[in-house]
Amino acid sequence: MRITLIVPTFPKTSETFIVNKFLGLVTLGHEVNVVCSSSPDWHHFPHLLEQKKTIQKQIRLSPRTSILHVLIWLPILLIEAILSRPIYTWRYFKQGWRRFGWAILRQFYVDAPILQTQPDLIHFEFGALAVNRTYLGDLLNAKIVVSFRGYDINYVGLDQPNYYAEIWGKAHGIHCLGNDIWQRVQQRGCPSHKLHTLIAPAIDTTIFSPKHTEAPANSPILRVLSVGRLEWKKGYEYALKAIQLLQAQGHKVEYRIIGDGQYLEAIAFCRHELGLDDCVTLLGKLPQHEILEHLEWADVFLHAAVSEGFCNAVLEAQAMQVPVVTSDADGLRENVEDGVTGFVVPRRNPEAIAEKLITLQDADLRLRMGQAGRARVVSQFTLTEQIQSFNHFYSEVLSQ
Amino acid sequence: MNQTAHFHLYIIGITWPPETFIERKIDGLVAQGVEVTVCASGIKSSRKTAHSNLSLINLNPVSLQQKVNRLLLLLYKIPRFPVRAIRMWRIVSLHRQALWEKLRVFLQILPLVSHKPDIIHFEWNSAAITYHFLTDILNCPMVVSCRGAQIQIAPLNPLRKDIDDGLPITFEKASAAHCVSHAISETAQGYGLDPNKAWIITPAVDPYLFCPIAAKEYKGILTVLTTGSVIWRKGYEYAVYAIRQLVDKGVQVRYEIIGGHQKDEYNRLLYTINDLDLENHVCYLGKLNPSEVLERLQAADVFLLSSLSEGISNAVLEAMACGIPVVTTDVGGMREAVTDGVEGFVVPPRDPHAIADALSKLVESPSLRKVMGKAGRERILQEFTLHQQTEAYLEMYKSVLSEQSS
Repeated sequence: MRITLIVPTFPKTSETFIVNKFLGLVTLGHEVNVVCSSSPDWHHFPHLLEQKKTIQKQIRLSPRTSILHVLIWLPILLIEAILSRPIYTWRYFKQGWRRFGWAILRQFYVDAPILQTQPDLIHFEFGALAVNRTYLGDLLNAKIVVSFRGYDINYVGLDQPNYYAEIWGKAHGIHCLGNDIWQRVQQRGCPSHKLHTLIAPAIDTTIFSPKHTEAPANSPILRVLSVGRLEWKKGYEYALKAIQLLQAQGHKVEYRIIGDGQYLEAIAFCRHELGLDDCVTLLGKLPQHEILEHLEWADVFLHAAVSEGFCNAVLEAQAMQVPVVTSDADGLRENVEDGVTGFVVPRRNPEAIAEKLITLQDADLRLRMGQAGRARVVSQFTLTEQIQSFNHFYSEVLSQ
Repeated sequence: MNQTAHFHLYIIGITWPPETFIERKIDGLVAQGVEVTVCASGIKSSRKTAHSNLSLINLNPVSLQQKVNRLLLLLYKIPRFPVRAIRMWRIVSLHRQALWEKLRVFLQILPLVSHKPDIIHFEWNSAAITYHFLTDILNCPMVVSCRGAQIQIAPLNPLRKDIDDGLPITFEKASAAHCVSHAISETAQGYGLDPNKAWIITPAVDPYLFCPIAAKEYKGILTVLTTGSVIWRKGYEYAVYAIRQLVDKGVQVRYEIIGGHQKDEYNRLLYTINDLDLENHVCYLGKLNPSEVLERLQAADVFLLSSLSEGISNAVLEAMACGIPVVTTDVGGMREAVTDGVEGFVVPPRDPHAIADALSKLVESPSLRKVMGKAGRERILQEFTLHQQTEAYLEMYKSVLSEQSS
């Protein structure tokens, strides 16, 4: 089948899961195209770079919407569409004219990259991307699948009760990362009988594989790591407060944070105010091989998010045999098995985080939880299984 | 009118129309006979204003017409003031690297080539860092204001090296530094401010505009209010979490938030309210016009400030003037405006439990609210009036001028 994935950017380091899914679907023999608005992070994906030329043909960039761009590109895109797919384009405009009138020209300008891929199935990888776009199902005679991954269901459009109403009606299938998100999707109006699937993220457990598997020595300093963009929803302020509580109780701790983002100033300020400049390092954004090194270094992976879809970084840490302390935000409860692969604590609660970090000063416990974590990820969150699930779901949607 | 108030003050690097507290300052000085010229961005036309001794110069030509006018100024000003123009170019060249940047800044400040200020005042540290060389070009002393975030937060940001590096340079050059609180002055000293140059001039309010309403009826629901933009340093997540705890205790409470917002923090606020199931207790009212804000403020039972950083909050001073008891976090200079247990309660930052405890005390005791509100208004009348603020500014400027002439 011809599948078109709609994402904001591709390839992007913080959205490695899209890259993995893309490659997996290609391997299964589907014609996969990606439509995005920018294509920035190639250098972080060495295995993609090797085949950059072939892959680039499958990536289409949305045209920019400044007046100058529209004037130049609209005629070019029109001619290209008419010449390459005359009947298909005719159908698009015929249906579109009924719905939009002259405004169909404006819609076409945005839709042209998708139209060029002539998809059987269009998958909007984030809910917010699909708003006001579900008409594409009728105009292109394609099925529409929409993913909800966390922020899109948690707070986008929360001030407008009918923000996603059109998606609940028009989409042919809904994909959620886990049951928690599916519950929130229903709370925001999706009928419970809607065709949907719960497919958790997956990671490449051959890349995320620990070098050292023996028990680490009981070191006097607890080494804590977080990986994730610097944003309010990741709850770093609660993590820092927990580190401060640990220090205040006389425990030695070193905390490293990998990631960048617009919340950097707030986090740097918080670190300073809490007197943690010496033991907390902000490492910025790092490529995967360096993240792996830090995961080897870490005793505990900490994720204090207040809102989270599922969190791949937490899966990766478990695959690397690092025990996890995480908040109970959304999918994290399904991601970490509380008391087995790590600890799940209430969100916005630094005291609870600190308590669990202290528990994890025990090296034997860390090893046990680490091993349980890896075993769980290897058995439940592998890429092949995930791709199979998507394949199955897509067939189901198409046969509807 | 005071004889010695005749000097020409240049206020540089603000936006126009300015924030209320800068507007109040300008109004006060102009009324005392000070000649004020404001060099700001966002000015539509540079003609004279309502006050005969207040004039405006556009610092950032935006529209095409403004840009063309600015280029024409080259043909007019340079032949008239060739020596000064060349000097201006040379000093600008020293402070900017790229030729394009040199040209841009030169054109920005070109209208000032013929001006002779007595003092230039940068209302923001960032403006001082960008334009401090104007003091060399115009041969006059400079004053810089330290108001809050630019001293407390920006220098800690790894991406704002310009602020961290620039602060000591501007403090060295400044003849005086205006700090909104003692706490800010102390932090600024960490970036090279000579304490002898520091002048503590707190913000002020008009106690006749911000005044209590006579008959206030308590309807059995505690109305807690915060006015302030929805940005991270206001710490709303902690405030909303505190409200959750009050609701859990069975307290009848309604929390109102008034102010503009930054998109991402707006999402955060909505999410926090939704996640904590407080849609019926917390209400974000958006940006309101000043008269509506005043009405809400006067009707409120408690003012809450959950900030993580503040110079001294104007909003708190306004609430005190209205006779509203205040719960504030212990950040920046807030302790200099509110004494714990007198005009309200001062609680540690990032501590929703402490906020909830303080609010509970005020819920339980209407008389305490009344006493604290009254104490707040008295404090404002004694220490934070516009008249006192204007006097303090004049004293600072006069001292700078007399130092200059001696």
